[in-house]
Amino acid sequence: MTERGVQRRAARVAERALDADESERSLGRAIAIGLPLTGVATAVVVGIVASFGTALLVLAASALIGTIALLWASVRTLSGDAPLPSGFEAIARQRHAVDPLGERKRRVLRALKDLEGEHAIGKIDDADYAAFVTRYRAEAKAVMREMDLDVAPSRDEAERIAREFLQRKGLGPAKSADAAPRSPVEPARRACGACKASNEPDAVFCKACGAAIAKEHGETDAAP
Amino acid sequence: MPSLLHVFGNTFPAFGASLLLGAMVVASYTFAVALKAGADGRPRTLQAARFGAYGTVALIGVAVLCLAYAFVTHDFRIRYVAHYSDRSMPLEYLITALWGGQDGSLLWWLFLLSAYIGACVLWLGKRYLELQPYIIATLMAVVLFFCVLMAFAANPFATNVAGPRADGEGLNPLLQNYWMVIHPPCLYTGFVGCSVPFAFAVGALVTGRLDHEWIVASRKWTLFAWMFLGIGNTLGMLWAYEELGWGGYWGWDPVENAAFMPFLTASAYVHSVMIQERRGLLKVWNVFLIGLTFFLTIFGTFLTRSGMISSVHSFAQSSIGGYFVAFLLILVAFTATLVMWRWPELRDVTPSLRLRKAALAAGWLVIAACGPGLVFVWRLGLPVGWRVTLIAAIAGAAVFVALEIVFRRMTSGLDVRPRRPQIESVFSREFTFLLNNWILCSLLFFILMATTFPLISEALAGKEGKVTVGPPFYKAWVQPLGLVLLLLMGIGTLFGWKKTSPEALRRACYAPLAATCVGAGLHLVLGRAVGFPAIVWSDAIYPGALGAALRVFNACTPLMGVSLCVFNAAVIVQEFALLFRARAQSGALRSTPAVLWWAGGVPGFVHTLFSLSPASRRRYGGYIVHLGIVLMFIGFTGQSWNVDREASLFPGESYAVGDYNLRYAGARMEVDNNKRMVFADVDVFKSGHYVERLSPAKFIYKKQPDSPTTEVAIGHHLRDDVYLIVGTVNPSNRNIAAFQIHINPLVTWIWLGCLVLIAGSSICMWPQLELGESRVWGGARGVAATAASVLLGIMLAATPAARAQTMPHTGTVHIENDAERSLFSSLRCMCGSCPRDLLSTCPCETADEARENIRVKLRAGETRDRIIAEYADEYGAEALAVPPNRGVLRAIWLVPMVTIALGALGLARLVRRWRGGGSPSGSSAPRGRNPEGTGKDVYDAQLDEELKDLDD
Repeated sequence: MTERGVQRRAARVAERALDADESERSLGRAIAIGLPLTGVATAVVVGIVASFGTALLVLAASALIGTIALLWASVRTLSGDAPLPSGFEAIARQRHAVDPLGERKRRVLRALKDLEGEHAIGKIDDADYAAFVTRYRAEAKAVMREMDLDVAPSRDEAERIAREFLQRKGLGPAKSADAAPRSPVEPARRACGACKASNEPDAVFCKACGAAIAKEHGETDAAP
Repeated sequence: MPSLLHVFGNTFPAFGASLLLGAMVVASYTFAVALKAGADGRPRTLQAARFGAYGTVALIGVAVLCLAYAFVTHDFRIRYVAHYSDRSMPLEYLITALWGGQDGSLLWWLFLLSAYIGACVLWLGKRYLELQPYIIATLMAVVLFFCVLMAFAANPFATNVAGPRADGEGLNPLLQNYWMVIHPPCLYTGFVGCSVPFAFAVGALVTGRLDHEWIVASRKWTLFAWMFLGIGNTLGMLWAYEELGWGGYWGWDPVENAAFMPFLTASAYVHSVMIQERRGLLKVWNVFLIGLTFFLTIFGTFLTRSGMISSVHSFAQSSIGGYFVAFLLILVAFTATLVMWRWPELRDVTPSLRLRKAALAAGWLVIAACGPGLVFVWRLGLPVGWRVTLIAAIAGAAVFVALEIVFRRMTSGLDVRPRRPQIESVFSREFTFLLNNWILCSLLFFILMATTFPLISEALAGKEGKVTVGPPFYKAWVQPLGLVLLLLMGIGTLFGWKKTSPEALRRACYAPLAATCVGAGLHLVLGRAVGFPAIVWSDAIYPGALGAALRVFNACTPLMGVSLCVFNAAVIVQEFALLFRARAQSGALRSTPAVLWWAGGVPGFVHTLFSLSPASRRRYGGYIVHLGIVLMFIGFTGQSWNVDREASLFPGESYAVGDYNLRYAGARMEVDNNKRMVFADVDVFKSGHYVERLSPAKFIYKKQPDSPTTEVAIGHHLRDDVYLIVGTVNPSNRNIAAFQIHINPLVTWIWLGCLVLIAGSSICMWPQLELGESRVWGGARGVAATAASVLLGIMLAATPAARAQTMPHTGTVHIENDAERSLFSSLRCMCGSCPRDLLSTCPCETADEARENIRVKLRAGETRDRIIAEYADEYGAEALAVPPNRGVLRAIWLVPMVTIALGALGLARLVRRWRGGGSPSGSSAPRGRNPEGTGKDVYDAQLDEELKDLDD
């Protein structure tokens, strides 16, 4: 058989395996819903026809069947015969190690959010609030910078691999956009025409006074 | 009815027993596979462990269903079924007999545990994959313990040695009532629920993922278990109130205390985890708290069942105490070792194997070394009480100190001190939560000490020195602690996270303080006029200065209780007002459709709550829970104004008490399948208006004709409960009836408070929409959660039509005046067959004689103290309701008070350390290219974006 034929047959086998996996998963889902429903329905019928005690026995029997089915599934999964739920392996690969910097950043963000909330309901005065916010924002930015520096080599590597792949496929731009670890080209924040408050770049209405913010000339809808 | 018993022949009981062994096998299999999954990290192994967990759940379900079948079909070959049911019992009580006795209630515990495991594994799904294996393994270990217990010591499927009986013994009528149907399941749901957060903690310790992950993951489970602990305790109070018929709802019974203690630690835990989430502090403390909560749930079951401390729950005594002690020891040793292993992470130092081994070695060496050292201390010539105190303190502190020494030595070269203050200000929620933990743990320690004091006193002073700790002692001491808790609850709410500006704090105090002063003033002036005087004097529990001081404090309890409740209510209302003001200012209020406001305001309020961010929703849900607790405290304060009277009436006669006039209309008899019922109808008039007819009764069961049960009749109202008990009805003397009459003010507020608590908890637990979820699914989940809670609330609120209740003896208690009442409440009945009854409640003959003797002495002019002393001389220290305040017995209040004071000192030192750590200015030195300036840079935009999205 030609190499192409072998490849095609391998693809068909793999496809059939995937189908078999999918059908086994559907079977599992069907049993997971069907068995309890059938058991309860039968128990209700038996309870009406015969007695409450017999209904309990029917429920017990269906629970026993369920036990056997679940243990069977467990052993099959352990031995490798049964497919895992779709996406499970992919998620498992994304394991996160303990990340002290990430934890610190999360805490600082939480602190800033708390401060915002407490200030809104009047438990912190403006002076204290401003002092706290300055300090916490500085710390947050420092942590973010550190995180970027940590990630920078991997990010560079990832960008390089992506560029090379695209070039091989003939899709990507011929020259690289930039080699800096982080593109600092961010659109500037928008000032409201009415009250001059600072708003997000993509704001449509001012968050302080509610007036509409005019679109800048030549601005596109591309996300920053 | 034809049963399928014939199909099984003689093997059905054996089949049931083998199911338990099968559950043991499956749980072991799952335990092993889960550990393997943790070790190799493969998703396949984890999925196999999950299936194994589901299989265990199903198998336990089979066992419970089989036992239920045995009850319903009256399979009296099984000893448990024969002992706790009979052919005449209606179906619903047959089902409740499942947990009526020990073996069945252990199986019920296992069943609830398996339900939790099933729900937890399902909920975990594809999340927290690193923690899952160890969570499953821990839960399986607990399942294994109960399976082993039941297989070898308390098998519910064990058969009668003598063969099947014709009929069973029937369930104790005390247990055949509505509240017995739901009280144990609810309480068990709370107890068992504490296993899940504990499993999360173990998973975090084993994997080293000790930051906020396990706390966020276990949050809803903790809240759920906490809520059911609260519900279970309240139902216990309802049961005691409606069924036990002594007129009250909490007797400080050891079993009641054992159910209350995990509630206290769980309450402390839900507050202190918020500090860990925000600050990364208190890691060791939180792990300790959740471990202690779980320990207390098992310990509580152990106390109930081992019979070590006599209690009303004495139906549950048995010999399985040894198994529990072994399990508790293994639990403590295992958790301690884990904590020692993870000491570096818990103390925020980069871990190394050397550090870990050193910590473990130090910890275990100290524990081993403590042995001879403690023996040495024991042999010192100190008073025994001091010896015991010293040993306990030394052993506990030694391990901690050893670990710290090792830790500091090995990290002496490293810069491990925090680089900036851990908390910014003492005027912050962080600090008040620490205070919350302090007072809750103080209360816990006090109750623990008092509950186990009979054992301690016996160990210290021998059999002659054994004392009992009765309700008067608890009432005198717990009231001050409870009031401090109430005060701190209100003050804590005033503070905000990080720091509360002094000016803001001053502003926030005006309204609540004003309300409190007005409330206190009104109470002082008008209290007596409305029947709720502000100062109520009672008897001192000790002679001497301490007794006098306690007496003065307790006299002011009604005033302080009412004032503090007003304070708390005002603070909570103010918080909500601030919330709405902030939302109005920011325009967020417009997100609630106006129609919801016009429809009475409440729908709008509820909608606002649900549209808050999760953190805010939990905060304001927490305030509603606090409101519920305030309402319960109002109910507890009502105890100060209880009125208790006795009267013998002929039909047609009336008796006046307070505003009420009770007219005995007459007696009547009814009969049903298993009992004869004698009702005494009483018409209740208040201020001349007819209110209702109450019919207290006596039920004479065919199975137990010698011990008729007394059915209480209660008229529930917002202001007062009219509580009637009929002692005897004498048909040969024109149906003269002897009544006990209690007017219990404000009790209904306790049940209302619990409902509000459930509502608040539900708000806290409200699920948040995940990204990508449709609104419909989120709404459906929320509705399901609420429906379950509301259903529970309806069950709580519905008053059952017929109840039954047993007192161990029949007869009535005659008390002629308040002097007698006060004496009888301080002395125990020593007949030997009633567990802890006071002379004021026990109707047996021995108690009658004792009461008569005391009456004679009173008429002869003897003083109260002398009579008490003579009674104690005759029967021993055990005869007193309050342990005498002398010698080593002082330890019961001295040790807790000293510990509480030391705790406060420790707290002060901790706060000082947190405040002073490192330089006040610093954040870490930035490594980035941009200098730390005040100008805006690219990170500001990203920061704002992330803050906007932060929604946990």
